[in-house]
Parts: sequence; C-alpha cells; structure tokens
Amino acid sequence: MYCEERDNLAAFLDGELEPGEAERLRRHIEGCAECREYLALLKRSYDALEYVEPVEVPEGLGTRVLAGARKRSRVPMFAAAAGLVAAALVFTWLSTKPGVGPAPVEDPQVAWAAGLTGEEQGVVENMDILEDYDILSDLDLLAQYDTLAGFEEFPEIEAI
Amino acid sequence: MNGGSPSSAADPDTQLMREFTAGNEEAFDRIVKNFEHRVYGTIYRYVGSRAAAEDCAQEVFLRLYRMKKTYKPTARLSTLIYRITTNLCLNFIRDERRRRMVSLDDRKNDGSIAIGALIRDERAEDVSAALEARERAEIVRRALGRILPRQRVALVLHRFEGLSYAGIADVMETNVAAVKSLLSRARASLAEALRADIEAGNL
Repeated sequence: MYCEERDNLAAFLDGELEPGEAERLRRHIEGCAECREYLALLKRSYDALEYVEPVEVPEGLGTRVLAGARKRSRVPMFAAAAGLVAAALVFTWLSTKPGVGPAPVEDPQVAWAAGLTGEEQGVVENMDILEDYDILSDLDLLAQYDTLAGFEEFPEIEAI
Repeated sequence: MNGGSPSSAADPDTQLMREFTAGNEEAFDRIVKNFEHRVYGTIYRYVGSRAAAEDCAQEVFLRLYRMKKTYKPTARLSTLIYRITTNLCLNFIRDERRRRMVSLDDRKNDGSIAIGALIRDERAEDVSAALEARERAEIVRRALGRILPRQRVALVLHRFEGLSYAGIADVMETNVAAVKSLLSRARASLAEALRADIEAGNL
C-alpha cells in the first residue's frame, strides 16, 4: 500500500489542482516522506522526456500530404462519375432492348413466359432453391433421370 | 468542452477551415502548413516510427480534407485535428498489436542495444558520462512505449504538445477528471519504467 495522496501528485506538479486543494496537498507533502520521494521521482522521470530527440518533419511532407489528400479525395468522385456513366449506359441499353422494362404485353418473351405451364413456371421461380440441392452437382446422375420410367423406381434416389 | 464556443469562432485556424469548406483550396494548404509539425510530431512521439508517422499524418489530413462538405465548427480546428490524430494513433497501435509487429518496447529484438541491461553491469558514473543523447533517448522512448495506449495519448498531448487537462479532455472527448486519472497513471508507469535508470544516475 502507498499513500493515497500519490494519485494527486501528477496534477499537483502540473498545476492542475484547485488552489485550495493544491495548498492542502502542499502541506501534506511537507509531512509525508513517501510523497516527497515519489514527487521527486515523478518530476525527474517527466523531465527525462526531454531526452527524446526533437522531431524533424520530413522534407516535403506538406507537399506530399496535399497531393495525397487531393488525389485520394478525387477517387470516390471519379468512381461516382464512372458509376453514373455506367448506369446511364445500362439504362439506355435496357430501354432499347426489346422485352425488358415497360414493354408491351404482346412482347414475344412475355408471351413465351405466359406459355409455360404452371408447373414449369414454378420450377423457374424456384431455381434458386434448386441450386442448393447437392443433386445438381452430379450432372451425370441428373442426366439418367431422363431415362427413368418412374421416379420412385430409381434405386439411387434413396441414397441421395 | 469547448463546443461551439466563441473561442472556436475567433480562432484563425478554424476560420481557415471555414474558408476551405467555402471553396478556397489555398486555405487547406495553410492548414497543412500550420499543423504538419504538430500532427507528425504527435504521431511520431506516439508510435515511434518515422514511416508510420508519415503514413498516419497523410491519413489525418486526408480525413480532414474529406470533411470539406460536412465540417461543422463545433470545436477549435486544433482540437479536431488532434482528435483525428489521436484516434488514428490508437487505431494504429491496436492494428499493430493485432499484426504482432515490432513495437516500441520490443526494439531490443532488432539488434539495437539494451541500454538498461548494460548500465547495471557497469559503474554508474562512468556509463552515465559515456551515454550518448541517442542512448538516453532510446531509454526514454522505450519507457514511453510501455505506457498503455490512452494514457500515452494523454501524456504525449500534455508533455509534447503542451495541452492543458481541459484541452486533452476536449481532444479525447472525455472529462478533466478522467484526464487527471489517465495522466496520473501514465506518469506512474513512466516513473516506474525509468526508476532504475534515474537511481543509477543515467537520466
């Protein structure tokens, strides 16, 4: 254990205590050998920081900083501009491409989709689910399904 | 904290930032000129590496530059810049630890002399006379590197940048009592790290 006033000694040295508090601590220090010794150590160790060599800013740092800030700040703006151009191009392409966007009902692709049976439309809508099936990784096995007379008779189905 | 106090309104650097946000690019040049030494110095004291200090300094000013459209003068510009600087320093130390790279207090691994070990084997008076300023600097920098990150930030701002406890509280977005505690612990760590060298008369 050490004197509980020790935690106040740095602020005392820094002149950051209220005048009344500083005076009270000053009187305490006069009568406390432990605090006097610690105060001296704090002061000497703080003074030793002067031995850290002075910092020399590298030549041309300011120029590099300015060039870097302006160059790197332009990147997002350039990217945003490129994005806008790309979006405009895609929009133009889409609006001229038949079958996409606000196309008339008699468009051939819509007619094709409308021609699918309900079952076929269900398969198309759930393609993302089908993609999760491990069975799709085995295309050879999948190809054999075409030859099957009856799905329930195919023995390997149980093993899948 | 200062907040949007009159001190920030009258502060010439804050005025420069206002001019920059209004479209005066040359005002930013002056901001960099006014602050490059303080920013670089703070980072260098903190991380102890010139290369890292330059990279971090670049990042500080890049972040400030990107505030062109969003800047609000709620504090003095110096407070804002020190805040960006210290946050980057803290991030740097955190990332560096994560990468398990060489840290300040680990320099003996790179072949430099372990001063503390040498001087305890010799007569203090002789070695003290022989110690070069560079070697003393190494002792002190190693001691600084042992101080915990937030305590070290407070210490660097106080000792090398001359900020008051209230100024540090503004930068670190905390209160004066917390700064007092950070600095007390930082000073205690420093004292313990340097005690042997001080008692041996090396510092």
